[in-house]
Amino acid sequence: MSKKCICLLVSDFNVDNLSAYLSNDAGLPAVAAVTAPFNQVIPVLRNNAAGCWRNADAAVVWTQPHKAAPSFGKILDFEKAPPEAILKEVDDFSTLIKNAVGRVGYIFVPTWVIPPYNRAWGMVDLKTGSGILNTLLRMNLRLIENLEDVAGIYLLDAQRWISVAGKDACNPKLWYMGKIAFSNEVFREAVKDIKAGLNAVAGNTKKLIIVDLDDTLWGGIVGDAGMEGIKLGGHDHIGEAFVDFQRALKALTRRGILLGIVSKNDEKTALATISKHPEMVLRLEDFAGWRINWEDKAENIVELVKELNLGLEAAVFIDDNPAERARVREALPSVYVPDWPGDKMIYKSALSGLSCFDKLSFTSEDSRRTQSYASERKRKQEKSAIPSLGQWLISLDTNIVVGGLSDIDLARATQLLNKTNQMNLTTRRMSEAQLKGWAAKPGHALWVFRVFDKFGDFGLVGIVSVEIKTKKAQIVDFVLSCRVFGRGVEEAMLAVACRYAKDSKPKEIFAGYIPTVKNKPCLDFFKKSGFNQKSKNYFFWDLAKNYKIPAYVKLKKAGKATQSN
Amino acid sequence: MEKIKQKKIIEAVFSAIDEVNQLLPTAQRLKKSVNTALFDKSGKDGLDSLGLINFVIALEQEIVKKLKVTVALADERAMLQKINPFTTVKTLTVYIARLTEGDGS
Repeated sequence: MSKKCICLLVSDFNVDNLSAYLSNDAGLPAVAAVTAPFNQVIPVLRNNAAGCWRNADAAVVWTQPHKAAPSFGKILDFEKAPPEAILKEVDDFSTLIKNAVGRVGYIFVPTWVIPPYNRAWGMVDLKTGSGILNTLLRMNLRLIENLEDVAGIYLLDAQRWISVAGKDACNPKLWYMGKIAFSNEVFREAVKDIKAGLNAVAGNTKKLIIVDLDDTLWGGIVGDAGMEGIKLGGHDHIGEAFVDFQRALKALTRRGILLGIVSKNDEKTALATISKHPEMVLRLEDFAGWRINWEDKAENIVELVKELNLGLEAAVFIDDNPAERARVREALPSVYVPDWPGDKMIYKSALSGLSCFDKLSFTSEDSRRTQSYASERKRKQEKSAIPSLGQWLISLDTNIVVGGLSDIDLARATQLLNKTNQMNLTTRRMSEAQLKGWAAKPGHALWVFRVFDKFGDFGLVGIVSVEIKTKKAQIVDFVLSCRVFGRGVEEAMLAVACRYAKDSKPKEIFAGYIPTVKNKPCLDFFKKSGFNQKSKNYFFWDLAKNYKIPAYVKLKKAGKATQSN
Repeated sequence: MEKIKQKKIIEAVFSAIDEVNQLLPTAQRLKKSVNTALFDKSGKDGLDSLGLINFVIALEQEIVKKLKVTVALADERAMLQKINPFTTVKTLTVYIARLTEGDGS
């Protein structure tokens, strides 16, 4: 059983209910919530040594706007308060939160809200200067501007939780009897977003949506009705709903989520419909892969996921048929199979409501991912046409660009470090702040690797880090996306680490492999890497010898590595 | 008519128990039975004070949903009763029935 995430709740209202929901929620990650002393937000944020920070992995700092910025209280009481004074208080509060970075891995900060029953001044409420809502919007915007780029701090949209809970979001009785600012419906929504955030920082977000076709991507059975007979687009409410659902899926591909098809259908008919139906939003190039046949869907999912070099836990399966959903749930418990509505008109909202795709940031690699899989299909087609592996590797014209860890690369590098399971030497998981801090320490060096070939750009796909010890250098991280395995990139990464270590005096460099259930490919690589395996999990290289880069890859420097020694 | 109302009240209490159980560790969850102890000032049985607040709010909302009437369960009237209405599910349903006397079922 994996360790529970200890989540500290720091608030100026009673969060015992939130704490109970977080701790009792069966979804992953398992959380043990602890509460900081009641209504002691400022002292707790100021005090680095406060006992409540001890052992906590993450924190949620949830405050009421008039407590964090007292001048806002005057606005609530219809008194005058200078806007600049309020924003100064927001800045001061933001600084306190920033100062708490490093005490825990991640700090989540819900935005400020006021109870929905507080109608205040009606239309005047939106006026600049004295309007309550106007002031609150400015405060939240300032808070976002202050905190959005701080590594380790993530803002959460509390207004969404209030909207979901509706008019019962805040119950005055809860406040007067228990100093509880929000109803349990709000806390339940908050738990969903906090857990999605914790999954995102741990790299456990879903990467692949596998969809069925008939009555899932379009209405009707294409095998029976033919391409012309399916419901898709046109002046029809169901047809329109399917087009919107496809648009929502397409939008997810722009966020780096892959699409796949597993459907019991005639492949030729289905592919022709996807390619030629005039109202299809999704075309073949939007799908990373498919299995369209009459075989068991669970088996097809296993094959497709394997083809895409992903784990089953990365996949979400969407099917209108409850029997197929039940089969996949039973056969493949790692695959997330959401309950799916019978009403086609709420497919899009059901998809939009899934929090399993939440990420900390979006990188250019995310937006290119689907394209990259399409390029991979072309690579494989060419590989099957070229008989020799060596010839094929030469024909790819693989280029590797190595550089240091810049602020621009930090989000993607952290994402890669936390998401990569297979080619990962030690499976270290770190926040952006922790990674940046580690790389800046004396004796540490970290490089990031970008790869492109004649078919396309993979983006940032590799990380190597080295720690110089007195007589030896240690490879601490060796992380590579599965999309470029076996292309000579691994050897190029080792060569970079060896060259650096040689220049830094040690006579030997070593890698200590830490086994997990998923990183055997990394062990297999090191066994054939040329490094000398001195014990079960330790591999050494004598730095008197140069570590060679395969002739079929080109290695270029982008800039200096992040190193400090 | 009274039987239907009684049934709706018990359903409302059980729904409130479901709601409050989500906040409790498994071992402390309340059983849905008329004899279940809800609150005991000594703290020996049933809910603690925060649990009671959650239960009262949930139950008031359930009564609105199921009986279409608004009741205030946490007021002095409850405190003035000879037997605390929140002692068991049974005492509570009797108290709610009395509070809603004359209201439609």
